[in-house]
Amino acid sequence: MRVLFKVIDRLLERVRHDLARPHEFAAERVGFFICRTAELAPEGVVVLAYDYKSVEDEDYVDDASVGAMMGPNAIRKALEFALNNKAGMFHVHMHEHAGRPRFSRVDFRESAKFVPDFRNVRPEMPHGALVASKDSLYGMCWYSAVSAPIEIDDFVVVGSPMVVVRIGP
Amino acid sequence: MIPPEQMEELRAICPDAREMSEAGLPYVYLPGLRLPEGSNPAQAEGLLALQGREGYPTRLFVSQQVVGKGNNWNTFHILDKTWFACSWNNVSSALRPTQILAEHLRAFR
Amino acid sequence: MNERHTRQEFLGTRSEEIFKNCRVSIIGLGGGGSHVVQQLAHIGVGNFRIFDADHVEDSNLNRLVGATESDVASKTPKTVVAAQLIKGINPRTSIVYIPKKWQGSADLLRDSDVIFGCVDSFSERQQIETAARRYMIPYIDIGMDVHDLGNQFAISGQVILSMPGELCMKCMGFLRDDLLAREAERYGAAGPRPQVIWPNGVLASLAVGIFVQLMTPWHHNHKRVWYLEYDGNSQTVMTSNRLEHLREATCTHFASLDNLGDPFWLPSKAITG
Repeated sequence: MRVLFKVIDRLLERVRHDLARPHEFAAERVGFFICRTAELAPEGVVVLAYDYKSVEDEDYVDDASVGAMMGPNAIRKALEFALNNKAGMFHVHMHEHAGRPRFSRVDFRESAKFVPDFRNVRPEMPHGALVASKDSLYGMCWYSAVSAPIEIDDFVVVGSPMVVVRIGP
Repeated sequence: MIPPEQMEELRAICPDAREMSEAGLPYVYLPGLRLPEGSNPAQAEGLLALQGREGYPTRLFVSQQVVGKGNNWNTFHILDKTWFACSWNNVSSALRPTQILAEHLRAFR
Repeated sequence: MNERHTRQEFLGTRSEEIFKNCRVSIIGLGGGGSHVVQQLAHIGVGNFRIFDADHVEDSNLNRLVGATESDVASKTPKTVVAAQLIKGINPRTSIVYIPKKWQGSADLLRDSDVIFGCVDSFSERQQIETAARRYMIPYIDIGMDVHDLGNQFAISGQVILSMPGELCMKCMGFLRDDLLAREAERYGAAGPRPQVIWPNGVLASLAVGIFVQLMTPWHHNHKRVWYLEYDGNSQTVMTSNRLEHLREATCTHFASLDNLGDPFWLPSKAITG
């Protein structure tokens, strides 16, 4: 199954700006893209990010073993939002370098813990986790009956200029 | 927004009727709309445009062309689906939605 | 870089790869669309979705790039003419061609990077733009007209970029309810509209230039909105002065979430397994 993730450049810029803000104790910030979706023939989905929810300052947990740890309130709020707004939620954090980012082992581990919860509240929507670098994106999508997350191999940042991060056509 | 009582009237005809909108224009989606007796198909999805578009004050779009009825059928893409409509104009938007629907369905009698 | 594209190296070291992986839809393969298709193939676009319900007629040969007399005799679909044109330039392109009205296969537009609309109806333009906005796809529209001024004629045309999140064609005053109404009134009664090759060539080239600047910019003067007006009598192209009055405007026609994604979303069995 293929996943195409699209976001308008101005929204992505807003997200990068938010994620770059310092926090009292968290080394990184995180947030959620809020998304709509549609099917792609022959077998896939297009994820359309239309807004962003920042995790609020007070909803981080002080955990020195990771860059940023969301507390239960952050996840609860995001789950409620997904439920009430029929939204697909994509967690996002930043890597401060240029070039295609990758998930660390910690990113994989932590995403796998909380992203499936969104499938419980909105099972019909794709949900996932992304990492943004200064000029690129990487991410995983959890979707429906497919239990293992799918690597997103197609990102389009819509704007002038367009930024396309694509593995093959 | 259609007044609730008028939506109820529509739902009496089409139980799953719901309001939708696209590019600022309001529509009523009418899944399982029964077409007039003798129509082919006997039923189709309907989309009732209650505000002017393309010079029509109101318009009924259907998911399949009605065989042998209506003139100048054209194809449309609205709300991400394919629709068909014939030339059947001058059904006023001042009527109640059920009346608008009834007037448009006359094209298929 | 492939020898073929060395003359466009100034578009960047990655430009060849970008064009090769890019997915472009072209709706309407007549006078304007056939030029667009040809230029995109030359540039190296690797993936085409092309839509046109018509076949070649004799009256098309004054302007349809790639069409020949034998196509008239064989009633070759315009999609086939375009596909052959593309493949002749680059046999390695992937082409999906739909010789039917695009509305019946609009799902194939969804993963396009850019959509070109080369149609001759305001209603079609409105529908294509709405579909493009639904899937966050930049839409480039071209069209020409010949106006009878009584004792002479005027050729005009436009190239418009409708970018998601920015002013739409209604905002720009190009799509208007009165024009749509007039067009609907004339439906079935309108004769063939005058169409000639050279304005189509100008407009198509401008449109392709906008596309290239979007995908592999060669200068820093990025624009999110384009509305170019072509005057075929004075042979000039100017930015429409309507945009001057819209500097601070934002689009209200597509602001609502109703316009984004599949409004009837329920995953199909193909996805849910």
